[in-house]
Order: sequence, then structure tokens, then C-alpha cells
Amino acid sequence: MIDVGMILGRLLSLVFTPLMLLFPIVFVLLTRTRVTEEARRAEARARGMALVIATLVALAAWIGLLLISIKLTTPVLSIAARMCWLLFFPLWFGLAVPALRSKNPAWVLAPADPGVSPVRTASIVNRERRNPIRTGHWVASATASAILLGVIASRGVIGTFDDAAERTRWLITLAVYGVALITVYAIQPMALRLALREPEPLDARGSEDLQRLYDEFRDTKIRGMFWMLGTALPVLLGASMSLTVWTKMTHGAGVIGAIVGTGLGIWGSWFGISMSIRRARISEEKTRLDAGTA
Amino acid sequence: MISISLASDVPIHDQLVAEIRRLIAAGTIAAGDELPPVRQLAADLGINLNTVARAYRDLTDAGLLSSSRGRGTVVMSGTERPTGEPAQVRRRIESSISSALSDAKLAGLSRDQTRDLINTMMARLWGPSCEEGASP
Repeated sequence: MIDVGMILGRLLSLVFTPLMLLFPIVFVLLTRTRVTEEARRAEARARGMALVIATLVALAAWIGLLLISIKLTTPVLSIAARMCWLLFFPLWFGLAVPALRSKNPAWVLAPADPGVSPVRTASIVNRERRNPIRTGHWVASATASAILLGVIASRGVIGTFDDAAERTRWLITLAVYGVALITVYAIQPMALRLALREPEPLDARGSEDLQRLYDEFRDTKIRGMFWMLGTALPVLLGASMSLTVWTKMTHGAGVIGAIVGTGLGIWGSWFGISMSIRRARISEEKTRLDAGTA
Repeated sequence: MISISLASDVPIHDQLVAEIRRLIAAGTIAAGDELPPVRQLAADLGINLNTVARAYRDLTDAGLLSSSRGRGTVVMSGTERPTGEPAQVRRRIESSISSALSDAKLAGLSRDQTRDLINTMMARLWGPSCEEGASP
């Protein structure tokens, strides 16, 4: 019998590594070059080329390891081939980020960088009081998660187990979900408060447009973080774990879990990238306003 | 809004204190209004956390602000707590005005220009005066 779950799993792991390795170069190529001076443009091109070469080397290493592991059936090489996706980190942080900064100086302005103008202006509004996520939001999310925790827990109370292994699996699932919930509801409200404190330096004249851009950006980010990490993550995790403990479809539940997890991951990546782009645009706007004042 | 200049000869702490005093004197922030947390203001202005904390502390000592855990830093009053004898306070204010007037004269401002400037500044703090423009 064909195990669809296993095939899907293998396919995903085969596609995952090249996708991760190609992501930095694709992102850099899609970023528009904003610098006008020829020297800066040449620097951006050189950094882009270094990234292209490094990406090709990483892909070649992955393909080489994969082919050798298939030929020699060596588990160590197979594991090494699967772990090649970790090369994403040096590619992204070591080469792609400097290349992005060369192409677009707004990327140079880290969120904490108030810019180069000697005049520094700040709002006197306490942003922690502008949190769009209220206690009621957290109560609703925690209630949904608690119901799912109850659904998982009830398997051991009103259901019966075929063997001891099944009971152990249920106990582990219950413990993992419980710890996950504690982590989510302990960390996420704090993470949202930290996001509210992210620096929002204004231009010398304290432009209202810039303040509006910050307000919109902050609102979108906080709401996105809440819905994604404070609601979707615990609820979807609980739903797939409930499915695993209450049905016999172990592989099927695994596939559903993998799909849901991938979906969340893609949502998270898209959200993170779009927020970074919006933040860079705000930095650009601030630089433009500062230049106008000077 | 609070503005400081890194190019100024005046220390950042003094600029910050002066800015908050100006906002309170102009009524932009009134008793009960909350100021941003130290971390937020320091990050937005790109200055040291301790500089902001020290400015808040000095204004708290002067009776203008009040800080407490949970409530944050709020404006206590629109009037400073009196420090020293009334004569001393008057001398301090006279000294500030004298220094500002000297600056104006040395900068080449005429008597009328200086008066206009003072009237504009006073109008910002106390509102427009009905006598404005009537006196020579």
C-alpha cells in the first residue's frame, strides 16, 4: 500500500532545502536598487555576485551530498544532505543582508537608528497604551486553546486505549500541548509589548504623515503577531493534536499537521518580509523628510 | 513632540528638561497626562536611557512629574514646586531673561523685533493678550 504521508514528507524535505538556499538570492534580485551613485551601484552588483556564487556553491554541495548518499546509502551523508538548508543562515545574514543594504540604503537604518539628522524628534504618546489587542482578545484565544486542551485530555478520561504505547503517545501529546500553551501565553503578550516599544523616530518637524505611517505599521504588526502566534498557532496545533489522539489516522494527521505548519510558516515569512519592506519604506520617508528639512 | 539637537552646545539632559517644561508651560500636556516610558523616549531620540531617566527624575523632584510602577510617568502639576526664597526665584528668572535679551541684541535684533518675538513666545504660553499691540 502506498503511504501518501511518507511520499509527501519526502517530497517536502527534497524541495525544502533548495527553496531555503534560493530564497536569499531571489529576495535580493527582487529588491529594487535605490542608490544612484555609480560606485554604490557597483558595490551592490559585487555583493549580489558574491551571493550568486555562494548560492551556487551551496546548491552544488547539497546536490553532491544527496547523490553520494543515494549511491553509497550512507545515513550520515543523507543526514548531512538534509541539513544543508542550514546554509541559509550564512547566505542570508552574511551576504544577502549586506547586498540588500547596498541596493537600498533604507535597509541600513535599523529600527533603532534615529537617522543622521542632528535634530531628533519624538512623540510624547505612550505607545503601550495604544495596544490594539485587548485583554478580551487574549481571553478568547485562551478559551479556544483551553477547549482543545480539554478535547485532548478527554481522550484519556472517556476513551479507551488499545495498548500502552497509545496511552504513552496520548500523555506525550497532552504534555507537549500543555507546555506549548504555557509558552505561547507567557511569551506572546510580552512580545507584543516589546513590539510596541520599537523605536519610531520622527523627522525634525514631526510630520503627521510619518506618524500616521508608524501608527498603521504598528497596528498591522501587532494584530498580525496576535492572530498568527497568539491565536492561529495554539488553535491549529491543538486541532491537529486532537485529531491525532482521537483518530487512528496517524500518518494522515501528520500530513495535515505538516500542511498546516507549512501554511503557518509561509504566512509568517510573508508577514515578516512585508513588515520589513513597510519598515524600510518608513525609513525612506523619514530620510526624505530629513533631507527636505536640511 | 519633543525635539533635541545633537549639534547644540546645551547638554542633551538640559534640552530634554527644557522641552518637557515647555510642553507643560504651554499646556500641551496637562496634569494627569502620561509621558512616554523612559525606554521608548530614549529609543525614539536615539539617546542614552539614563539621560531620559535623569531628566524625568529632576522634573519629579521639581514637582512637575510623578513616577510610579504601573502608572508610568504622569504630569503632576502645571506649576513647579517652589525652591528657595521668592527673591531667589525672581533673580533666577531675571537672569534667564537678561541672558535671552543679550542674545537677541548681539544677534542684531532691534527693540521692536525683540518685543515681537517676546510677545509671540508669551502668546504661545499664556494665549493672546488683549493689550497686545496697544502698548508702544
